[in-house]
Amino acid sequence: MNQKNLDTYCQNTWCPGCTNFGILEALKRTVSELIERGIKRENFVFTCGIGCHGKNVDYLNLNSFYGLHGRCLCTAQGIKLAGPNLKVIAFVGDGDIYNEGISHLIHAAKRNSDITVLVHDNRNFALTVSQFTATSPKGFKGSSTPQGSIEEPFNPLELILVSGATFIARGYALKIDHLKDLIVKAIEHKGFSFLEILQPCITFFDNRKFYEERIYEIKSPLSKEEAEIKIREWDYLNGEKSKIPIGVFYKVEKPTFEELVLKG
Amino acid sequence: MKIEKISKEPSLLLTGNEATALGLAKAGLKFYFAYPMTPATSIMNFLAKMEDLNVKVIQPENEISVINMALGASFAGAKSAVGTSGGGFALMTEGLSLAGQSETPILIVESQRGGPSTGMPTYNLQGDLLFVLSAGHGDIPRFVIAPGDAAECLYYSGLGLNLAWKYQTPVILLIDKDVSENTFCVNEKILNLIQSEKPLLWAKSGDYKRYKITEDGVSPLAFPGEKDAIVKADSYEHDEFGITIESEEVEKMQEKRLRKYETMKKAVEKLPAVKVYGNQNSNIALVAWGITKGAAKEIAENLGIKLIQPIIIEPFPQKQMREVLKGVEKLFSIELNTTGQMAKVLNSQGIKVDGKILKYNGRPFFVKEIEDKLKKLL
Repeated sequence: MNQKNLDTYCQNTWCPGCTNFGILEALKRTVSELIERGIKRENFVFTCGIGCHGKNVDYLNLNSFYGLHGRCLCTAQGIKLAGPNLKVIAFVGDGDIYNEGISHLIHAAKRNSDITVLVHDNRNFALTVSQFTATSPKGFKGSSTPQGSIEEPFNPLELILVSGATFIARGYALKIDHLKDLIVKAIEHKGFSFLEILQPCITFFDNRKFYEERIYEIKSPLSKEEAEIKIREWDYLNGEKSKIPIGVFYKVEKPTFEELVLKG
Repeated sequence: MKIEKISKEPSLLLTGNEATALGLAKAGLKFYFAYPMTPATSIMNFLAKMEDLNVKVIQPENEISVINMALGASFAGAKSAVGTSGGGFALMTEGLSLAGQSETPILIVESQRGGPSTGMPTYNLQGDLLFVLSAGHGDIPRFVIAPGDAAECLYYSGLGLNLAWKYQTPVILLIDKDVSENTFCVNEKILNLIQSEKPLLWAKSGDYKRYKITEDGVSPLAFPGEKDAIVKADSYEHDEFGITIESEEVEKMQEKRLRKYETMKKAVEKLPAVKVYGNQNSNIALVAWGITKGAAKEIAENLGIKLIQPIIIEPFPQKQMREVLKGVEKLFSIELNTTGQMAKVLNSQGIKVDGKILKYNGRPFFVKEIEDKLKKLL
């Protein structure tokens, strides 16, 4: 499989040096590897919301539905219901799914829909030139909060664990091989797989140094109790001394939503 | 006491909602997505109970999820429908616009209750006509169909689902609370008129283009999983392949959808879009739609005047309407709303309405009260 075949003619409009290039590269390596392992190219389907992350589907020569801001997990679940053999992967952003579409995220995890969610978490609304999102640290100086955001961030991994996700992982956009392995595992997981990708926004929130000083890889698997502890190790605040674990935090097998709906 | 035997053939006893569900199932519905909302809820309850119809009922977290899930299922090739009332439909309008832009088929049942806002959930008003005609941001080609009893629900729900797939665009079935929940006798033979029609599919040669520019504006469909086809749907303006663009080229796609609308308009003229009752030769005519046609029909017959019932309202059946209005000198609209929304629609089509008989306390029209009001107008 020639990876070039995965590119479209669409002109790339991310900022030069955008860390989304890292995620796109990891994704293309994932798809190539899975095609070599026997998954048919035509069985991949991508959805996305609106934000810098969404441009991925224009750059990928694969089936896709470029959906609405915050709503693409709904579209992804509809696709999976109608095409249970399809590999349905949703690109979402932090503003997209932790703000606008938060109810859809919680319920998709709750029903264990067999889709893969890749969150490009750059911790600000970058496409609209930088406003705070649910994971921006308190004091974030964006264009709508010149004096700093007054809200504390939430920890999306903690939220998704209590919502019932059966696969929870975190990766880093610039650790491409590690990220590729995580995406492969997420897609191979039967059930709702959630992969939070820390994605420094080099234009509006360049925290590469912050992440790279703190990130370390964890060993899996963990029990639910161990996962809770690891997930709480870093609370999405900035400036603190805590380390930031990446890797697979939690994985459990449960019947999927689509299996239960379509049986009989 | 002796009970006389009736010679009439047995017929189905159905509510409008049950008939709608049956019509959709007969036209090949695979998934029905809904969030509970009176008076549409019994469609989902009925489909969930009637397992033999083989329609899977999905109850997502809210109406926004309802329509976006349904669009995902349609995109992947499964005939899908959603149902709600005015407030739920308001939440769906972002998704309605997505259906128009991405050219994804969907049938939406909007069962009206008294509005505005939470309004009168278990009473009937016809206050959502102008809303469904203009809902959604941007120009969206759509069908709006308003059946007036359960028999019409059965026929037009099946027709509507097929139209959604033929023209890859949203179809809104606008019904009234009293059509939804009242029980009617329905001729079983109507079911024979409904088939699950095949949409226009890709011929499997050459590169597949989801939004291929065509003369009639309809681009052949393919679904994810189809070998040698890459299927890209897009909520942004896009090129033929489905890649986002913002160049002046966008005009071509806008014009493709405009041509599709013209094709839809022509199709409407060949469908039973307008019905006429009473004295066809009268120079006085009533216009009534939805549940109101029942009482209006009785009056037309009693007074020897004409009743016109528009059923397909968008695209507006101009030719059929012009035909039934021939010889009519006075036209009165009878509606369950405060402003005469159908009269406004007719006015926008250049049809003058001479008077309006309106009622808006949530209760149905009685024959006598329309007669009294009409006599004052005449």
